[in-house]
Amino acid sequence: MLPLIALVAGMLLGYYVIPHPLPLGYAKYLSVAFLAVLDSIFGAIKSGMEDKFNSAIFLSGFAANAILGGLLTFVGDWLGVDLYLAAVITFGVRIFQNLAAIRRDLLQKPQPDNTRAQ
Amino acid sequence: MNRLSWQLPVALGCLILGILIAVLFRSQQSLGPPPTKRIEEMAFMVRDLEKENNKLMAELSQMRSRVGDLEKSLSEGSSKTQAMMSLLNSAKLQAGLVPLVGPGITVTLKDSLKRPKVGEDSWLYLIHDVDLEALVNELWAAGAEAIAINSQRIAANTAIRCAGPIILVNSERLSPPYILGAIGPSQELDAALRMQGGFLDSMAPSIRNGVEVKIKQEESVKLPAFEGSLVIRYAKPLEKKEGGP
Repeated sequence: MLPLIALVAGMLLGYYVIPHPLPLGYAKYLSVAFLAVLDSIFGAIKSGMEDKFNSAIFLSGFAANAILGGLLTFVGDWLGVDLYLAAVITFGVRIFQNLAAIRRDLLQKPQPDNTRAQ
Repeated sequence: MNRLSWQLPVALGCLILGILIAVLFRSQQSLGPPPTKRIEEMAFMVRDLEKENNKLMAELSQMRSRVGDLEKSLSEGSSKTQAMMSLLNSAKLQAGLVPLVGPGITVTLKDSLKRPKVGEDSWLYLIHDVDLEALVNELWAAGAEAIAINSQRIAANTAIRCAGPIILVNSERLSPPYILGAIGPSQELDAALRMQGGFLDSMAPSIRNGVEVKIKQEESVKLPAFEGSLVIRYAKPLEKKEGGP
């Protein structure tokens, strides 16, 4: 529930607070950042469900993903090669893998969290 | 507790995700609604405005011919009005409001038929507004008395601009080939374009790529009259000679 609330809050914040016109040149960075964040979140949900969540790993992964993605995009822009595609593909693949793991976790032991919390 | 420990960082991530989504959405929005629809709408608008423009142009030429008739009937009056008429006529001649004929040159400019190689800039394969500008400048400097490009006479307030694949002269869209006519001393005009470091030299890289530039001396060149707007809304003549700005 908390993540959902945060998501909505973030959307509102981004929509109303951030100065609107974003230079088109940053579209690549945004898409990479978007995927990096999505990847981290799915990874965290997965590990949370498997009871292996470690916030240090989550936060460091979060930062490392974002930094490496941004770096690849920057270097790619600099060299004129679309290196950011590497980040996009990697994050994309990992998102789907994590989603598959989450799905399996949910189906194999229905709502493991709840039982444990009770 | 266990739940909260992983939900809190995830919530943080979701917050950032939300901001990203909103910003992406915003930047998508700032590009405007789906461009195809807008382009269609704008094409319709352009068509309507052009229709209106054409109607007004027809009206204008009617009015101008009536003015001409009135001027003619005036010129048959006293010697005073006759003198004024001759003044008016010479002013019109200067302003480019009279179709002219006389010796001069024509310059034909055509885009290259070749395609630029992969990775090569197409700049040197096309005729640009700046080329026409340079050509017009060179011809004025060489003593041309009147110049026109295709159907558009170059007048005092003529602008030569680039608008994608076409060139705007007097806000009229021209497409290649551009045929420029100039009345003046034909040999001098010809020589001015061919002089070392002159127009033809500056076009040499383009000509090597297949751009066509043909300069021809002519016995008689016919130029149309300037048909654009003559309205002066802001400027007023100074009463006395007070020197320039």
